Amino acid sequence: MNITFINGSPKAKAEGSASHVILNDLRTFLPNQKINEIHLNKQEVSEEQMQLLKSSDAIVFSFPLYVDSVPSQLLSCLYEMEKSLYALPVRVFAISNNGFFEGVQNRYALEVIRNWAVRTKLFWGMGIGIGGGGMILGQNIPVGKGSKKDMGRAMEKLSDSILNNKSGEDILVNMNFPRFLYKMIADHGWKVKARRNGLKIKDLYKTL
Amino acid sequence: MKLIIHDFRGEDANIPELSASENTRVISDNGKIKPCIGCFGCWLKTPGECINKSDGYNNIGRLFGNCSEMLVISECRYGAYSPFVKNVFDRCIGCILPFFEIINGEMHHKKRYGNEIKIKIMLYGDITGEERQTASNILRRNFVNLHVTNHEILFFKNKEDLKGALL
Repeated sequence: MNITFINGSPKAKAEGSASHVILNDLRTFLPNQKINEIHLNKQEVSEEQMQLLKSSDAIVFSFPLYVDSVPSQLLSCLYEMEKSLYALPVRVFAISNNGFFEGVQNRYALEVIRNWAVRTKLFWGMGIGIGGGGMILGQNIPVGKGSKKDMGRAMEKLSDSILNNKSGEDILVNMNFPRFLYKMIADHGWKVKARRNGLKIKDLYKTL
Repeated sequence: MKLIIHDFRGEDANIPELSASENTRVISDNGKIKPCIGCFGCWLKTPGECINKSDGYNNIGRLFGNCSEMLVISECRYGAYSPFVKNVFDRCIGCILPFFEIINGEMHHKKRYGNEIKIKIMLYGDITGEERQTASNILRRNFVNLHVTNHEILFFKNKEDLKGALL
């Protein structure tokens, strides 16, 4: 089975994105599978990337939620891919992550990918929405354990759908962590980063 | 100030209804816009303004924060805005703060500006029922995240019908 992972983060380096960490976590549920990974961080898909996508049995998008939807450069790529992948026997999966605590906030971004799959006459698999994306990068927690317990359960179902070429219901998960603490740590984190940039806290509230 | 954001190009864009004036600013597609790269510079380095000044689209957050009326014209495909209009919204987040608050039981960002925006969104294209539903739901979430209370969403089968409604 040919599986292609699509990292839809617009960051310059794939390794610096939560979307990449999520795909690495998903790999642990897909042992012995041939998996290619491409990074669609530009507004177009290269010929080489498109060839990989065309030869896939399953493709898995992993992207950050941007303003309640798919990041703009990935949308541009979807337009191109609609033409090139039209009616191929490919099943499509999607994982959207967001910085807000609630995974449910990803549900309509997952629908965008599903609507794209329907327009492109591909087979829809399922999606996962993951909240608390701020906890994904820079932490070495194995998927299925601790704060990533529910994320692990969701990935188990998604990988089962990939391997059995079937569809499933979308799953929307939060980190197994208290929301008030997540919010407190995140708000503190903004202040720490601003100070590192030479700003005062009041500068963050500036209006122009 | 009224802000118009649209994805019309060429002759379609050359109509009086989409022209800038003393009280109207227009954000349109010159083919050069760069995507937001999620660096949070507009929150943590140059608060309120995007750090990427290379394409001239670095002031979107400021325009969002200083307008009282907004007209958005976009193709709708898959239930999303066109890539250009989505890019404009991705680059607008300087108009809100990094800090979080809970609204309707969910986490969102706090307001930076005190302006009340009246927004009208006109979407065009061969839009399926599912795509229309997705678009409506995404826009409703946008209104919460951008703190917009006065809003209207209209769908059109094509650009011509939409242009007719602008006259």
